[in-house]
Amino acid sequence: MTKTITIEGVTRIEGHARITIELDGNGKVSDAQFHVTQFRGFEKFVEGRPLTEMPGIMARICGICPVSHLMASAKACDDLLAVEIPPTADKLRRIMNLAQIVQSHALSFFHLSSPDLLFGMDGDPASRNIFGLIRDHPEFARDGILLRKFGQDIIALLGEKKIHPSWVVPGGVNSPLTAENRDLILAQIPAALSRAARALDYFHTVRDHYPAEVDVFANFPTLFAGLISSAGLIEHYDGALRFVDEHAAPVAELTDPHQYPSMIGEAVEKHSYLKSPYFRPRGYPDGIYRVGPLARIILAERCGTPRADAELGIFRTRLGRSPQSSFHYHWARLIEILYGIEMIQRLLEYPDILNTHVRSRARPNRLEGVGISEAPRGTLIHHYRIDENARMVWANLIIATGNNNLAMNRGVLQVAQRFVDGTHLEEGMLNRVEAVVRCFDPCLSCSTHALGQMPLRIELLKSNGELCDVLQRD
Amino acid sequence: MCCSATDLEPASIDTLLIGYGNTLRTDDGVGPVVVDLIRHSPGQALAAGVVCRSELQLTPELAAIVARAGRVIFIDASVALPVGRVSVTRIAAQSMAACLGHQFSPPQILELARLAFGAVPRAWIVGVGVKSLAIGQGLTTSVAATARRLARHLRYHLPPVGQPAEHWILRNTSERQYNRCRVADASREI
Repeated sequence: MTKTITIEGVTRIEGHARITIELDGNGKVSDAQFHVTQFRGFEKFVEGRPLTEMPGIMARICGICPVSHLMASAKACDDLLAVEIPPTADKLRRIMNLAQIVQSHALSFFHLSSPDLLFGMDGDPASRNIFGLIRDHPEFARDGILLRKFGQDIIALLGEKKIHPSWVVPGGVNSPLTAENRDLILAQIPAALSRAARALDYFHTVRDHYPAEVDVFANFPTLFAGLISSAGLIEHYDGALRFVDEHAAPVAELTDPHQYPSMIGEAVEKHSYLKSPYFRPRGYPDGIYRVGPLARIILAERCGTPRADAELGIFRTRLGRSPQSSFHYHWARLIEILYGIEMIQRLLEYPDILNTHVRSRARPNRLEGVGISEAPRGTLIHHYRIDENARMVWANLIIATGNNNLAMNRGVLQVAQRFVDGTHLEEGMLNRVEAVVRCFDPCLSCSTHALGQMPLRIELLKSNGELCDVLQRD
Repeated sequence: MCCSATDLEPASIDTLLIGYGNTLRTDDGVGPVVVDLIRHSPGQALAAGVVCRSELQLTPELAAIVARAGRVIFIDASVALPVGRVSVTRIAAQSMAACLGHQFSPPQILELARLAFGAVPRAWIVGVGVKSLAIGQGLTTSVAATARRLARHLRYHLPPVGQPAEHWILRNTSERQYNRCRVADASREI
């Protein structure tokens, strides 16, 4: 007799999703699926809009990572204009992108995932949240709030607002950086570095407490993908798109963004609105790959900044060059926070950072453009086609979270098979199924939303629909 | 002094005005609109120690600036009020264990400020009854008129340059409501 468990309203992620777990007649998990239940449709409703509007429209995809969509969209538009943006604009875009990564990683690690790490996967759910965190670990929580604020403040200083800034435009950015604002950001760097270092110190005290979770939190060999610089350094804005195998050995590298369809295929599953991209040469679903902070630090030779490289050295000494468990996304995220702060400082100290030539102007010179950048959650691709009047006729988006869809699904199954007892449901079991998804920090809403108001309910049903057990979180 | 949405505010903040909502959902943006009207009112600079913030939503890092304020006024759209009505409600810090994301309510922001930074200012929510939350920019006519009156009202009672905010005590109005025609009279209360 088969049964189905449904986790409706996965918590502490960005967006709305559902998990179903299928049980066989012996109560053993036979299958599990991660369903993304919201539909967006940006690719269709931008048709007919002028390309100059695209960064502004595409930023509205997401209220958490609008900067990421700004970057990929602006790069696609640069491609349509066939312009090379001014060097100062390149640096300024990079600063904003890194600020976005710092604030987003801070939110993911401190607010969404650290309650699991500090209170335990079986901890009281009434305390396993940001308020419980502050009560029991006030300095840690304060560091999280202020690190996120550090990134948000930089975005606001550059783009005049934290969410949906319109400062990144086709051809560059629409205003230069002032000396006053540069100095304000630089003044915040030492405190931000200290907070990131404290977070890592704290993480090192708990990282070994979860061997069972490390063992099954999406722990299987896959490809990893992400941007990489020509020097083999970690890269978030430009560079080649590299795929490496489970041993970190390169298997493919894309230098022309227009050729991405030769490497990435997009499958659609009936159970989810989230596409399932795969590495085309290996077919579907064998072409499973992962993106995001863990992928980026696996495929790069090094970060290129001293503190981040020192921490990466500890990471690799402890886990090897290419650890396969997605539990290690948390550590990778902290390394990227450190890197982001260091790199922002480095970029701000370039002598040309205050240059006022920050935008190249041109009319459209191509009818097809592709922009690839790294969002906090992984590689993001915007692909546009326009007509002779510079109006959009077609768009395709490959969102960072989508790249991890196959791995998230397989990870949910792996955790469920280890922890879910089909005859009796427990809170910790449910939380672990969610926690493996949180490792990837998926951003499903791509918009502002009211997360946290939703009840969570798991029902254990017999095949005839009879309710066997229920677990409710209000 | 009025600052941008960054960590550049003065160390001591007498009054923090936070208007929040989505300006792309018509009247939902009334909070940011009111704050922007206050910020950009011609003729008179805001007093030192008065800070205006326009926010899409209340995010946890706001707790850092809230903790430094003497009083905080949150301005938000309300679907519970009749269109054009304004309510003023004193609020206190409140923990909600169910909050599992990045978006917080005003009482939760106060609680974050208390727990993380050890300070809770006096705080109020000014609610504005709205007509439409449809997709689109700009307020509906009646709500726009209320926003202008409310901005004048709040601005009039923010301390002028050179005078401390303590002279303009925001009294606890305990759920008292003001209809459209009484907004001007309500200036005595705020």
